[in-house]
Amino acid sequence: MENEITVSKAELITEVQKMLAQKAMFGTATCLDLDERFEIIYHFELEQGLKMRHIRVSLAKDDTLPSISNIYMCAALIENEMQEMFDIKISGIALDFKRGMLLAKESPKTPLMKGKE
Amino acid sequence: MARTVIPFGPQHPVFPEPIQLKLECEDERIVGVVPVIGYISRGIEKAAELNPFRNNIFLCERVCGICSFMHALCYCQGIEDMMKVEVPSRARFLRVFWAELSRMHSHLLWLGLLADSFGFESLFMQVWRAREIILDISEMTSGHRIIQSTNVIGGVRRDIDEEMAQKVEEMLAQFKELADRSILPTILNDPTIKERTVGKGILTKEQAELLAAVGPTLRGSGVASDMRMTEYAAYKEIGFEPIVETAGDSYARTLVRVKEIYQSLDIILKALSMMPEGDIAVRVTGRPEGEVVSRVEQPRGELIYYVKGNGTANLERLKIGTPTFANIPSLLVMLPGCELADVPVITLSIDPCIACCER
Repeated sequence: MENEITVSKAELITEVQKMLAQKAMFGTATCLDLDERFEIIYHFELEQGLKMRHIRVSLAKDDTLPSISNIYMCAALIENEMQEMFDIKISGIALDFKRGMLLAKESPKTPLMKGKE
Repeated sequence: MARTVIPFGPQHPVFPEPIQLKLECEDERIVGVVPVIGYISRGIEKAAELNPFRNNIFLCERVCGICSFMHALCYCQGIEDMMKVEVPSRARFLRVFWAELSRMHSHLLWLGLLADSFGFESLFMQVWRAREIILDISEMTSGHRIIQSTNVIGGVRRDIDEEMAQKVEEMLAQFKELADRSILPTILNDPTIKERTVGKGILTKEQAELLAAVGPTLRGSGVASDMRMTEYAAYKEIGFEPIVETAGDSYARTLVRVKEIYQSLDIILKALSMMPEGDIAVRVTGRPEGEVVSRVEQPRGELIYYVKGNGTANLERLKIGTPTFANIPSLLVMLPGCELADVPVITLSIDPCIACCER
């Protein structure tokens, strides 16, 4: 995608802080299950939404991603959703629903992971 | 002072759909709020991976009834972008026509619900009476009052001939006459409406930007952001300027939507008059491969579709970012400090659509 950068997990918070310094607005985030790892793409908007910037992070399935919700509080909901739908581990979410935000107790667990058809 | 937690919803007369707000109160004053969602999550993103990509149009239309056209438009634009499809000009104008018709009926639906929320029943009935004209236009041009289902990958499936366009213009004139007479003066002048909305649920420009509000919620706080500025479909040819209010309260968000109803009416008339002759769709062959982000301005704000194709008939991933999902964090700053009695109006002022939010 245009205007995309790939960063490591360790660089994520610094890059997100740069987005805040540029007055970028948080758009949403997308999680991808690539079998052996996850990829998370954070979508930001600049110039009142006219431009987008995407930050892509690769994460091993047993690794933990730091939450960006202490920088952009609004990211807490999508981080909760990613935890629930993909079983991805995210630490320090500002408002953590403990994997109970969207799915009912009797719902299939982590339904967006591959092989859950 | 002792604090009480009051569960507001999920079933509540002002909410057309289920959402709960856990309101932390000191006497009648709200001091904290926790949103609770998850009552109607349907797993549409997963279903989209299991369907052939062409069938997903119908699935996307059912993310939400009210903005069904916008979901299909955003999806089709994403696939067209990925497959390098050039949509015929006439189809792009027709898409604007139905998109703005959707915005009008959505804003009118919301305005009626707002009036109903503070007991202004005559305004509620006047607004929904006017909305019927818009729904009749939708039915006449698409065959359906709400879910127009006119998008296809590569264009649209229905055309509007000259005779029908003439009839649409007449019906819009009727609508404008009714709105000018019984809706706009009430919104602008009635003290009851101002009493219930002015200064209620304030979201400052800085808060709106930091919390990533979208749509009228963002524009009501003074931020001139609207995805139509990105000139998708035929907005480049038709021209577009976002409507902005600066007060950041529930009344400002109301004014943005009321003015947008009139703006949509003008855009529809322009689309009909400027629409070029030609095909309404191109044949699209092949299978999508790659990644795109597609965005449109839904009535409630920016809609984001991330689409990943893998060269097969099924998509690898479809991620849907909806405006209500983006606007819920704003409630966390709008509600604290307000009175319990103002919670319904303030919550409605973001025009929550829970079906969209939970997908």
